[in-house]
Amino acid sequence: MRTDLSHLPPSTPEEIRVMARRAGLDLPEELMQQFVAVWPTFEAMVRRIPRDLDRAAEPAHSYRPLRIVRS
Amino acid sequence: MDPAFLTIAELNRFYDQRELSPVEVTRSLLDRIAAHDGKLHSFIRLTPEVALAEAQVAERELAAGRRRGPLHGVPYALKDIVETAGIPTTGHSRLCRDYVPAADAHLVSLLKAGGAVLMGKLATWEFALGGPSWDLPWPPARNPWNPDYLPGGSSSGAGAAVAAGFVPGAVGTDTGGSIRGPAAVCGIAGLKPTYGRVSRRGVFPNTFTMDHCGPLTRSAQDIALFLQVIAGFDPEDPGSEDAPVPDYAASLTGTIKGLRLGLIEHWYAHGAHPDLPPAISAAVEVLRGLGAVVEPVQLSSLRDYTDCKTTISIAELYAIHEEDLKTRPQDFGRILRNRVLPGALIRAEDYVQALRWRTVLAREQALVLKRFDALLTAGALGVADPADPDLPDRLVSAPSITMPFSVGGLPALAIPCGFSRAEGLPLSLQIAAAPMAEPTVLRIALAYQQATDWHRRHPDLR
Repeated sequence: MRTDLSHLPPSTPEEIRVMARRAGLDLPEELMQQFVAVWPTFEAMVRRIPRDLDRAAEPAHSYRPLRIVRS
Repeated sequence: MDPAFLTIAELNRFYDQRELSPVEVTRSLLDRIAAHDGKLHSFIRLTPEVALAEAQVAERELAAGRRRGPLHGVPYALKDIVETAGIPTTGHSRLCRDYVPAADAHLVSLLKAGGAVLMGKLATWEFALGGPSWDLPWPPARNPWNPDYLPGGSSSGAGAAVAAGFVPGAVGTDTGGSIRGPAAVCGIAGLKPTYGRVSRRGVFPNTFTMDHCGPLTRSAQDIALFLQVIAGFDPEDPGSEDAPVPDYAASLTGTIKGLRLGLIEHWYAHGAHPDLPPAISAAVEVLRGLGAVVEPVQLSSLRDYTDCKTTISIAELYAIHEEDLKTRPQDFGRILRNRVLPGALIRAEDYVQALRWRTVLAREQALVLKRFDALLTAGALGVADPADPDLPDRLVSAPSITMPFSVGGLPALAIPCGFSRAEGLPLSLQIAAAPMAEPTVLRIALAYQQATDWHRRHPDLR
C-alpha cells in the first residue's frame, strides 16, 4: 500500500477561502467561487503523490553552474 | 500544380526540378488560407509581406544553385508563444495582446538562417495551457476534419493549419502533450523531441523542465527534415543538451527488422475510444509484418504520471504568472485562471515530492528502454473533442497518455493510424524511445508510413 495523503478529509469551502487569502489571493467573489469549485480536484491530485520515496531520491530539476555562467 | 498537400520532401524535389517555385507555393498557400481559415481560425496573425519577401530571397538563391537546407523556400508557421522580432507574440492571451518582441526565439533564427518562409503566427491555448477558451480576443481553432470539433491543444493552430494544407510544417511546443495531442486528433505527425534537443530560448515558458519545441508535419520524413534545422545546442538555454545532431534523414532506412518494441497496452485498454485499441493492434501487426518484435510492457499508471506532471506544472505556472493572477485575474481566460490559480496552494513539500517522484518514474522508463529499442502506445485516448464551450474541463480529472513521455523527457512521436467509424476522425499511434533516440523513432514511423496510407488522407475543406 502506497503512503500518500489521500486519507485526509477534503477541505471545506470555507477552509479553501482561508487558504486562498493566506496565499495572497484577493479574488472578486465570482472568481473566488470558481476557485472554490476547482480546488478539490487539485487537492485530491496533490494528496495522491507518494510520500514514501527513498530518502536519497533526487528532485528532477538541475542546477548546473557552468550553464548559468555561459548564459 | 496545387501545393496544398505536398510534403516538405516533395517541395524540395519540385524546387530542384524547377517545377514549382517558393513564391508560387507561398502565394498559393496564402490564397488557400484566405479562402478557408475563416472557419478554422488556425492563424492569429498572417505575415504575408514577410512570407513573400522570404520566398523571393529563397527563390533567387535556389535559382542560383545555393541550397541552405531542407526548409529552404518552405512555408511554415509558428505557435504564437514563439517570439518573433518585430511581429506581435500574444500567447493567445489578452495580457500580451500588444507585445512585440525585440528578438527572435533561437529556433526562429535557425529557421531564418535555413531559408524557411514564415507565413504567420498560430492559435494556441492561452500561454500554452488554458484552452479551448471562448472568452479571449481570438476564437479557439477548429479541426479541419470537421469544424464542429476542436484540433486539440495547446498547439491547436499548428495541428489545424498543417492538417488543412495551409503549411507543410509548423513549430509547436509540448509540455504535457501539446504537440502530440493536436497531431493525434488532426491526423498528422507531431514530434516532442528529447528535452534539451531544441532550444526553448525566446519561447514563453510553461514548465521549465518539461517544455519542448518541435515540429508538426504531414509525414515522418518531413519531421526528420524539419528537426534537422531546429535541433542543436544553445548555450543560452540552461536546459539545452550539448549533444551532436545526427543526420535524421539518413536514419530513415525503411527497415525495422529485428527492432524490439514494447507495447504499453494497459494505458489505453480501458476507457479509450472503442475504435482505438483495434487501430493500435492493426498498427502493431503492420510493424510485426515489417520484422519488428513487439512484446507487452507495463509502466506506472497514467494517473500517476498525470498527477506528477500536473503538480509540477501548476506550481511553476503559478510562479510565472503570480503577479498578473493577483493583480488582474479577470484578464485571463476562465480556463487558464482555473487551471493555474490552484498553484497558489501547492506547498513547497508537495512540489519537491512531485519532482522526486518524477525521477522515480523517469528511471522506470529508462529501465524498460534497456530491454526495448522503442515503446508503442496510443497518441491520444480518443478522437477530437466537440467544440462545445460548456464541456467540463478534464485536464486534471482525466489521465493523459502523452504526459508519461513528458515526465521522462523522451522523444515521442504521434502519427495517424486510422479513423473512428462514428465520427470519421483521426486515431493515432505514439512511438517513444530513449533520450536522443529520435533517429529510432523516425525510422519506425517511416517504415510504418511506407506500409500504410493514413498520412496521405486529407480533409476536404469545401
